[in-house]
Amino acid sequence: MVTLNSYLTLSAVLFSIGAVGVFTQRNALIMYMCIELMLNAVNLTFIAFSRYLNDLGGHVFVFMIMTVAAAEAAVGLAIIMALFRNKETVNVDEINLSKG
Amino acid sequence: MPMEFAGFPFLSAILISCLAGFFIILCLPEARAREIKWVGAVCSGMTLALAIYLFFAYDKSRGGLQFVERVQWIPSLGIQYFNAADGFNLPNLLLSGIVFFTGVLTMWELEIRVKEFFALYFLMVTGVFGLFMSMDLFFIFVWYDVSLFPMYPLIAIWGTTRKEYGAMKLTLYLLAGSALILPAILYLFVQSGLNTFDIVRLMQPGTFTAYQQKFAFILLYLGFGILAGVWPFHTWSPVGHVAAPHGVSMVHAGVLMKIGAFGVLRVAMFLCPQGWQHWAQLMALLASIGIIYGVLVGLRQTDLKYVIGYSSVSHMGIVGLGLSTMTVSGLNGAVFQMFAHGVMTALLFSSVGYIYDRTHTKAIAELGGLSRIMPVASGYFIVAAMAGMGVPGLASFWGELLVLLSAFETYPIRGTLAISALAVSALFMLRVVQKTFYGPANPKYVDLQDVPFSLGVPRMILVTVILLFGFFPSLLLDMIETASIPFINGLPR
Amino acid sequence: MKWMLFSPEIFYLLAALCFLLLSMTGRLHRRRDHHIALALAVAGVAVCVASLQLEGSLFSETYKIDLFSQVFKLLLSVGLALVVGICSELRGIQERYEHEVYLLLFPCTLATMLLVSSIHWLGVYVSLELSSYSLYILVALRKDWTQGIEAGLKYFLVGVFASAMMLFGMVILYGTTGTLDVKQLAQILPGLMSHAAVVVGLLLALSGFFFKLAVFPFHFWAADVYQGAAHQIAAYIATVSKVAAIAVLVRMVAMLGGSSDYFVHVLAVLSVVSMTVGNLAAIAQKDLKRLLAYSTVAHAGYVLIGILSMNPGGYAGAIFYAMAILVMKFTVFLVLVKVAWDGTNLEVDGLAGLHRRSPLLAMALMVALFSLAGLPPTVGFTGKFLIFTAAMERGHFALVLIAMINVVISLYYYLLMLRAAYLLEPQEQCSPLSLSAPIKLLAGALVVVMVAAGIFPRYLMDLARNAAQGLM
Repeated sequence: MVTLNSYLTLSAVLFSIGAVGVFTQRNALIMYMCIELMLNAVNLTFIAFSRYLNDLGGHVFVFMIMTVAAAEAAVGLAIIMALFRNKETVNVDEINLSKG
Repeated sequence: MPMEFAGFPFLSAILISCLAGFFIILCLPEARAREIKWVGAVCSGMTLALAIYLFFAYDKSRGGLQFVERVQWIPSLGIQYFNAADGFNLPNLLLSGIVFFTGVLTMWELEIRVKEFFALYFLMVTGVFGLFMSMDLFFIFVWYDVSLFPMYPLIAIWGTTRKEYGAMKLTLYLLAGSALILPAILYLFVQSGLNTFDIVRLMQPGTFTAYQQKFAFILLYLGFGILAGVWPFHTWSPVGHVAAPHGVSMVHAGVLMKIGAFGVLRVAMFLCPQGWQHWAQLMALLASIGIIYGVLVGLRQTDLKYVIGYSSVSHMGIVGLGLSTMTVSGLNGAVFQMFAHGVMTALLFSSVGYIYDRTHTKAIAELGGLSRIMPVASGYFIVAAMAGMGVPGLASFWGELLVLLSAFETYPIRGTLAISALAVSALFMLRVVQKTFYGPANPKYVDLQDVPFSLGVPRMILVTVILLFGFFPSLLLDMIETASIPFINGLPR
Repeated sequence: MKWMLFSPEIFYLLAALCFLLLSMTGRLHRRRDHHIALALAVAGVAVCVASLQLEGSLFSETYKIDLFSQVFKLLLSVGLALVVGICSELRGIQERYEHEVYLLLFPCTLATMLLVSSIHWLGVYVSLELSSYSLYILVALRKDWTQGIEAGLKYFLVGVFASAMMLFGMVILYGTTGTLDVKQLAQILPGLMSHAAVVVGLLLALSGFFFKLAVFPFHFWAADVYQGAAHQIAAYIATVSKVAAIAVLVRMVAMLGGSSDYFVHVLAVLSVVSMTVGNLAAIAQKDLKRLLAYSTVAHAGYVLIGILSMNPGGYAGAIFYAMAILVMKFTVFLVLVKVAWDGTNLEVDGLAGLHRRSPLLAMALMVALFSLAGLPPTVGFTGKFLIFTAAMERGHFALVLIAMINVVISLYYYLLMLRAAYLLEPQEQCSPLSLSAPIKLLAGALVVVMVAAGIFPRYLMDLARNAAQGLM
């Protein structure tokens, strides 16, 4: 029997993996993927709650998040691409982002 | 806006002539330095005339608040533009008028960036006048800051020794004071529950509990005390005095430090009398330390302006001591001393300014025998120095006498110490006078001109004032008593 | 007639479409585009003024139009018009993409307007993302490729991370209350505020706006983004984007904050850390825009004090402060754009000799700096005064004291800027800055506004107060 708690646990784990990944990974692409993982964890939670509460609002929200995430991918990947063309790297340590 | 004016708004007229000067100077082109100075002289002269008029038009037999002006400014927060004259602020208004006018004249020889200098100078003095006449806490705070922030450019641009350091230190110290004042004012505003910043309404007995008064008093005392040069927060003052250009030093030591003492009186002591009683011992202690410290450190200085700076610390200590006695004569003495010290330091800085402009040094060791080279300029300095020593016949004698007598009664030990420190201070002033003006003359300076009549005007005015109030102290004391006697009698026992 | 309620948004949507069409025509007409943008932005201000008094709600009660939202729409439109006003020479932007600047600025403003009216998490989320994405691209368009792209990447990563946190908070709130509608949430939440999950959810849901406002711990992007973005874009981020963030924070906290001590404590900690970190970091900065970025972090802390007071006075103070930030930050950026006319970054010492190169700009800078530092009689002081009064009414004495101490710290670096402008002499001979008449007029008007709103704040205050009244 898969209960609400199982879904919540799974998405909490996914979210944490994503959050930890953002802080530990140094490759911009992987950082971005970790953030996507967080978003998907949120999506999963929304669906689970939506089901549990018998409320369609959560479903709708998930569709919106997915759509917005697509736009986000377009913007984000474009920036990462542009960075790679210029610097031949997507490692955030090699660009001087984190000074001061 | 509902307004209330008792007759012609003389007090606002003072502010308006300052602001008018400010705007006219802003509109004049940079190159017309002469015109700018004349506008400055005329506008500052007007403020002096108005201040003199107010001083003599005040009805001493009636006492209390007169020339009241009241405009609702922000009704939802109970903020009013509320000005009034009483026995405490009239001497200070007169002092500001005198120092302002003579300060403008002292800066007559200024050549660089004249327009900006006088514009900022006028802005600063507007704040000074505003603070002295305001009876609304909000406006007092506003004027406090208005009088302070022009100091930074004034010192940093036109100053001399270590000017940037001095300007920064001074500004940060004084605004740190305002960081204590604003929370305290807001605290009182909120705790009173009256939704007003009106001092007269807030000072009604029973508005604040004893605890609230003690709490707010210490914040206000420290906040304003920084500006008054209370030991150990005085360190900005000698540095700032030395760095500032002479006209600014005059306003700064002559009037601005009084703002601090006046703020302690008007805000802290008026609103929190029980707090005053509670902290009076501390005030007396810090004041006496300040007197002694100022004298002792002043003894070792080699720069003329530093000497004056430290003597200011010790003289402001006398004001603080007077305020801490909680007696009529102590208060009288303190306010009298505020006035006398203002005029006296203004004269000191004004004459040092003249000497420095000629010799380009303030080092005591390099000067010497000046009394033979420029007897008049030296004479002004010597008069001021004697006033600083408290020589009878000069204004500050009465202030020091009154304060020390009442301090001697209230705090015998501290009073004795202060008196002995003052004796030492007389010694060190004499030493400075002797080294600078007598003895062998430095050959570099023998060809220097003495003060011509036109440039001597500001110093003459100041000397006249010192002598006038030295011989007729009752002119001032009667005025102060109209405020101090009801105030002391109204204190909760 | 219901569509009238939506008129500012419709206007900005049409304006954005107009630029979309213009960008398709291919060739760049710099002057023409700028004039059209300026005309549209000014017309937008007029539309917002005209719709100031509207009230109502749209889209099944998920979109609220009240005085609060309309005041902020007006502020946002004014902010856009001001920023467009300094875009006449976009030397900091790559030439190829110059005509896309307006194409992105207008939808971004549209999104911020949607944001201040939304009272449904969905609307909040979508409009927040729309405004952010426009900005990510705008930042990356910097002429100096690497700088812009790096800043854009950092902005993007932090922003997306913050919005993931925000979504997580929303989902927690959704799970505990079963609704996504903020208005319904406002009725349910007060009874649930003792639950840790609800408070955590609420804080996380607000983190998206903390990011926009550059509140600690979401402030890391600020310095790099300001430095990396073109001056005009940085000005936009510092003004319009901040105002929108303040608006939505005020509205959400006013509706949902309730009376949870825990929530207030967390906000207080964020506020104190933001001001202190912002001010201390700003002292160490050499680059003017980095310095401004950290000062923004500090200002976010001051605004939070007003918000966490949770009384009408505090909200009114925050609204007033938003107006103040708009004017004073913009003035500094105006000076920056004119002094660094070639679009390169400017060090603080690069302001040297400004008082001779352009006395007007130097004066504007001085007034703006004193206003930022919160000295009377400027609008910045009045804003701080309102906020501190409101905080004191709630007994946050220590908070006010800490904020005042921070004001003194901040004064140090503002004075250093002032020193550069008034005291330092430039290394090489610098010619006077030539300013066009409208810019001179603008600078003069800004000075007058900053001082006048400080001396006679009554009407602006009443406006802010009325706007805040509608929230409760």
